[in-house]
Amino acid sequence: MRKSQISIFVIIGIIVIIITGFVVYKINQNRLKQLKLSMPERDKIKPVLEYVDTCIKETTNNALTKLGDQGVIYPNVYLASKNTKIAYFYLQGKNYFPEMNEINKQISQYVKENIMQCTGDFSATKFAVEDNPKISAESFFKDDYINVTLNYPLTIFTEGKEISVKEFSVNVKTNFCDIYRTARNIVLETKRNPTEINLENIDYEIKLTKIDKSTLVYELIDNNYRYRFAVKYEI
Amino acid sequence: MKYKYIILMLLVLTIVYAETTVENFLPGITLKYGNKTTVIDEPDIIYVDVFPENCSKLGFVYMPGYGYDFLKETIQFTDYEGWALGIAYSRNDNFEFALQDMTIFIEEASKQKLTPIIRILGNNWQQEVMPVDTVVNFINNLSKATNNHITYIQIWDKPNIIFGDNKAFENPKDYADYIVNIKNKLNNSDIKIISGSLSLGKAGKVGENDRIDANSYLSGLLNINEFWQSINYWGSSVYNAKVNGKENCITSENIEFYKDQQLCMDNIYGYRWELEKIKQSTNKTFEVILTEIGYPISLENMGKTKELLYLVKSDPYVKSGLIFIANGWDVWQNSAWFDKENRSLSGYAYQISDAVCS
Repeated sequence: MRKSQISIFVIIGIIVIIITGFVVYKINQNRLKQLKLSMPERDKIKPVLEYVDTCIKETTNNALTKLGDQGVIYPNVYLASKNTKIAYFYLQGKNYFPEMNEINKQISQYVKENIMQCTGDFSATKFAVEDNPKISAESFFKDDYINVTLNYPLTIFTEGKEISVKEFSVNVKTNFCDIYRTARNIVLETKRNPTEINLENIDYEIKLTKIDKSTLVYELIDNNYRYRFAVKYEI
Repeated sequence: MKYKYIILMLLVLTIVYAETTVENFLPGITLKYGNKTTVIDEPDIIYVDVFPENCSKLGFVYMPGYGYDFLKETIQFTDYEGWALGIAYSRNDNFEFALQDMTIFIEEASKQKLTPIIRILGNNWQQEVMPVDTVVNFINNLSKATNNHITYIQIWDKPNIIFGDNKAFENPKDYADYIVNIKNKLNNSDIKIISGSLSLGKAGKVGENDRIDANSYLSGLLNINEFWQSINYWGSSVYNAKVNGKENCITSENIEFYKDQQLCMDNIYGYRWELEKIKQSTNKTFEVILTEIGYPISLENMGKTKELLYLVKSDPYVKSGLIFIANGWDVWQNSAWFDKENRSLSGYAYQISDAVCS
């Protein structure tokens, strides 16, 4: 191999290294942009960020509990006692099973409406914080977690400076997706064949409560979580 | 010896079956237990059914490009939640304007807890059918622009009407194929497809356009099995300028349930006739979304309108009913349920709401 050929390979090698370096730099820069805060800034206000994250987790868990107790968070057609509401998912031939989009919307709404009950007092963080009530939330379930992204504008005052934070994103572990699929199968099967309740192939522990001769409450139990819904037959 | 074993096995199987299966668990209903099923008989707590007396199934049709600030007034009418139908069509721009317009519409509707439906028409309203890929792109872009806040999409309106020279859907198979292709290319089970409601009535003129007999058109659709797997809701309408007119009636003699009733397809029960016919043919019960309901706004029609809305809100097969129209479009200004000047519900709408929704 001649010297000139070796030089060409060296030059190509250098160009590849430069391009790779540039791409890696750009990707990291984009990531930093997404965080919108430099690492030292994040470290400074870490207690506030952790406080809000904890609140989102707590509020999301409350939303999941309410969802489990009622079938949906804001039921429209439901079975009611003094202290409980249980949504009808099947009512005399009609399927009221909630779509996942609807459940996501309701969780987002619940978090949006209740987050400030948790974040009401920032004094525990030992920071002066000004929050803006213009909050919005988005949520989605995936595999074994729910992601909640909260748009919650905060201004944090520290060491004579103001640091603004806007977006928080938290994952909360839950097996809801799988329970939801099981509940959907039960409801679809009920609609397909209203003369039979077949629970033979269901892995979850199930409590069936007979409310009256045409009404049942299903309770799917997964460790410490329960998902309840009601069905009413045409009898 | 051999028989003894067989008898013993049958006995064991019978005992196992009896333990895991309960006939008449509820009257006429059999329960097959799972591994971890427990049953609690009638608890001490007293439960009652709550079916709200509001009109949350109802909403309004909004004409495009006229602003959507009236959306917030819908709750005044329905009392709690509701629906809103927006119309998207291409203006020789591959839905570019419609994408912006419908994004605003969906965002405004979501803010007001209204469930949006988007009706997709063609180029220049219904003059030309847009290609499947363009429609699919539009739905995907709209979904992305609104963070998946759109679930219900209606494809076309009155496919059995030939709009001007547009004969694209003259044959019901062509309309069915259009829907099937859109559904397949979308490949998104979160998007629910509503069929375009038929213009109910016999063949004849509707304004300047020709209508294909609704009964024949529906029969044509019923021949295409894939169509019925591709739609999630049947779209229909209850609207007739001639409230008492009988000239467009189609009798429903071929439907046992309505055999002797001499029903008029374009009257208040038209959609039930359609559902019955669909069920007989496909063995599937569809829920219906009435994407155009109402009568001309006049005091003489008020009783009829109240009757119609009460039927819609209490019929379990109606998922939603959209009153035509909300905001004023010049040609329909006299039918608008919102007062353009006061930017609120019209007095007529308030009277209907008081009677039906509260």
